Amino acid sequence: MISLRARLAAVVVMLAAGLCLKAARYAGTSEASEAEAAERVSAVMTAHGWTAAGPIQRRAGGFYSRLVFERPDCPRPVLVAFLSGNAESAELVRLDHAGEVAFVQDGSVVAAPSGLHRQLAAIRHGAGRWLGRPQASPLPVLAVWPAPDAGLDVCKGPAASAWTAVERAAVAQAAALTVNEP
Amino acid sequence: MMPVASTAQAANPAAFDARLPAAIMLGGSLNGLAVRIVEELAANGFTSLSLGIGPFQLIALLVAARLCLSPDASEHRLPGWLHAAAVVLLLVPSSSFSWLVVALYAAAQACAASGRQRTGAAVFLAVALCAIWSSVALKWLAAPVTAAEAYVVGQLVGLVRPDIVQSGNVIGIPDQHNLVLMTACTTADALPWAALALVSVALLLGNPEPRRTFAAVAILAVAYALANAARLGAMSWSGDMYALIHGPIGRNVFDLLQTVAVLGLGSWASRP
Repeated sequence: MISLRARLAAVVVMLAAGLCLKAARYAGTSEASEAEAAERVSAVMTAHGWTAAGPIQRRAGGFYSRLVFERPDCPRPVLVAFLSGNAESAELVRLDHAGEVAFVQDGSVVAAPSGLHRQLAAIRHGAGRWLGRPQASPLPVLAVWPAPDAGLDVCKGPAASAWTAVERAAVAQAAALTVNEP
Repeated sequence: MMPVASTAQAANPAAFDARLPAAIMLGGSLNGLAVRIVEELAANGFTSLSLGIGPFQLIALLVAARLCLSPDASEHRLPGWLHAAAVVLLLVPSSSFSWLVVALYAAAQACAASGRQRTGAAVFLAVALCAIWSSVALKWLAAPVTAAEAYVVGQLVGLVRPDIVQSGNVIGIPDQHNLVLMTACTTADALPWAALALVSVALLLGNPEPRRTFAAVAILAVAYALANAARLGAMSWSGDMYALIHGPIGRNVFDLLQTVAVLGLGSWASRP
């Protein structure tokens, strides 16, 4: 028969182990860093002939940041904003850009970001890492101006389908990196 | 420590037994708070003594632990496998999942225990439910909840400042000054914690009767909703007002008012 004191000690050790596991998980951000997200977005834009016109700009007191992309044959730029946290700055971005914005969340172009989908993506990502599957960090919610459409007008930026491929490409890249590791 | 524990165990075996569920619920709660602690340490190091844990959360947890450790003899105990299952599940590296485990375990403990130990388990259950509400459910409902509160604030402020308009969770003067209402700033996020702290204070100070406690929570809810609307309205007024209300002075004054209200109403609710 195990004494109560021994059981208590075992419980404390297990709870401390749980804390360490969580600290290890949360010490690395679940979302891609701003620099990583900017790199992935720039890759998509470059593939469609757009070039970043400068570094990431912080907007609205840091509520969101954005990259400006230009193309020589197009009169106006395409803006891609990165919405941190629960994307609560979505409405502000929409107001700042006269409502002509669409959001890219978890590989889908949506009219408004969803907190539920963001959490499900984080759970999928965490579970995938836990099971040892190759995972690219999920991108933060992106706001794209002008809103992507079927892609008939090249000056409106990449088509909606190009944005849905961003997440898949990142996962494939993560898988390739995992395979190439010694 | 050893002689004290042995004496307590000899005097009342139930007092020692109570440590196991109390340790699981308190340790589980710490696991639930892990994400907040890690974020606080990453952002500010060890500058905050509370490690990012809110004062109302701390009050509720300490009262719950104290009640769970009170020397009531429980007739029924949880089976050993349930303690083991809870501890193993708390290893899963997800704070939200840990809160779910604490909620289920505390509910089982509240059913099995009696007296103050049952009350303590119920407070742990309430803490876990508040945490799940704040960290999971409210994020799903962020858009409608923030927009609804912004609408109310916009309507109230619009009575005296027609140039201040509301759109979604944004209140302000277009192209000049905008206030983005975040989930963490809403009454829906803060009020459950304040109400729980009020009940915890009442339980700590006495044996509150339900009707008086309900009245105290209702008063707190109305006062909090009005105070938060006034605070948000003031922040939407201008950039200078935002800096004052959202800065150290405004934040400390609002925190102080909350604390006084919770302690005062908790003390009132605890009276016979």
